[in-house]
Amino acid sequence: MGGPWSGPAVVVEDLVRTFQPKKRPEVVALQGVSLRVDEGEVHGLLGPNGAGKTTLVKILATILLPTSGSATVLGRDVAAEATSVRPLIGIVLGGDRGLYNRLTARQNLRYWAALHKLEPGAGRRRVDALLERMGLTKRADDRVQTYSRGMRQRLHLARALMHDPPVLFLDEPTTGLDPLAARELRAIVGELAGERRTIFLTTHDMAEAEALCQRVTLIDRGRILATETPRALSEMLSRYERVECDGATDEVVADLSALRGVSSVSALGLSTRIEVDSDGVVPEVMRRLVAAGVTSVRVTRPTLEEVYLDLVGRRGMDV
Amino acid sequence: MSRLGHMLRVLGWAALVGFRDTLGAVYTVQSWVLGLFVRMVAQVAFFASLGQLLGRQADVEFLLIGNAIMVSTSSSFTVTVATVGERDAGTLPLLVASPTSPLVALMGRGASFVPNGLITSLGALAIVAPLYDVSLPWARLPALLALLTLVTVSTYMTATFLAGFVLRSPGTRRTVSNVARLVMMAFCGVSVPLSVYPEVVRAVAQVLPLTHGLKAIRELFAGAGASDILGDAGLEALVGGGWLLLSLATFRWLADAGRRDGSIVFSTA
Repeated sequence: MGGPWSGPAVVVEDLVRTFQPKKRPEVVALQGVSLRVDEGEVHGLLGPNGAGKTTLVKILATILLPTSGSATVLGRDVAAEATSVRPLIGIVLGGDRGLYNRLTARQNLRYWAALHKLEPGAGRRRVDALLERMGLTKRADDRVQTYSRGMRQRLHLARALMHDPPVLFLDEPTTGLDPLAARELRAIVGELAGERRTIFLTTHDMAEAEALCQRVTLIDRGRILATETPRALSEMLSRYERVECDGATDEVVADLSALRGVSSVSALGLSTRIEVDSDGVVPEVMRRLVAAGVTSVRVTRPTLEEVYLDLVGRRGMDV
Repeated sequence: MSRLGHMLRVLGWAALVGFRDTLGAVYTVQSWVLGLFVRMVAQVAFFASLGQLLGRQADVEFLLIGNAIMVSTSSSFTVTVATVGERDAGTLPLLVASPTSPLVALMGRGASFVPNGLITSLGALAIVAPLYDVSLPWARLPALLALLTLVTVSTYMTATFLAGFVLRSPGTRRTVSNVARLVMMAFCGVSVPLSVYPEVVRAVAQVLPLTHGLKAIRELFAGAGASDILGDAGLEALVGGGWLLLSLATFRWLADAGRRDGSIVFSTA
């Protein structure tokens, strides 16, 4: 795994991709996207449906050609040097499809071993090892059409790892999985990240992005909104901590609302959230709450989900 | 691993996928015999009967041999439709992004229809010919099998070339394969001798598969010498090789066009 390349694993510069459906106006899927993914980084691409996530992954995976701009993987241009990019990448595309349902898992993987030019003996050993790693050995000789969605996703991942690629593109790998299956798949992705593979992951799931990714890029309508660490993105929404408490009376709420440096006081279910916009206000808020007899008090920061909703708006949540 | 060994391995796996998705999914041995084989035998017998109506044994033999061989070549056109199977499975983009040319995998998908065609065609000949007093060249059976394989494979190469275009436009898959079958039936000497056609049609027929191979098979039935048969067989091999080269030359271009306009990722499912 890996090679002499020592620069960024993925570089995207001013990438534009348009589609021209028949008898309909042109669709602009990507509008001048630029980003950089370091070697060994787990990078999340977060955005609503139609944001351009899958199009970007398909261009990086040499499946689609860009309309303009450039993209490289480990220094190779995905358009001009596609044949040298392909052995370096593994791809998991979202959804149920991408497997041969009437073959067994072992046969699927043996076929992909052949497509990746592995010697028959090495291919067999690699297939056995991947089936074991993905926990599929016991069902390896069952047809894939009998597999659960979680098992299929693990098989997708095994296929993507067949040739031990240094860069992985995972397009919404946990979408549609039950919580347990999603957690298992995330654990495997975490292990892969520990092997210093570069992982480019698209997802709708904020918790997944926060748990797995060192940096996250937010994309909407084909434009990059921000690229930061999950924590830095949270700080973009609110540079300041905020206070949440249970059992605040109307008088306490009124008192805090009038306090200089408090930007908002809002109900949050049975709790109350106090947002501040100045340094040094949180201790005063805490003091007043405790003085009013409110003892259940927490100091928090915005979650990535809140950042996402703030930047993208609620348009994307109907996924 | 040698390049040829690698390609054969991919072809083998692709053939298994194709078999499981088509013949293996649709037929049991019993339903294949009753649903496909008997139908093909009846089709050959129908054309032989038309020859009887014309009143000359030579016409019976011409129609019987031509249509029995057409059964096998017709089976080859399944590969034209098989590209769509990769779209339905969602595997086409993954094949395009694999280090092996997707053409190899797509060629393999219809491969099970080559033995299917050979068995059906030979079976039809063996059953129908005695019923219509047409003598089978039993002593030259290996040569007949070799020639039948040659025309089936050369037709398969043409069908692969067409598969590249179907890949761009999957909605045309049935039309393309059926029109190609009809063209071959009409202009390759299956039911109508080439001599009745204008010069330009005869010229076009020279670059179509089946024309020369079928002529060689007719010569085999007529007891012609090996040199005559081999000459026509060589021409058939050249035509098949030409279509293969054409497939190789156009396929990457067609795949790149699909990557450019996005049609490579569209699904028919």
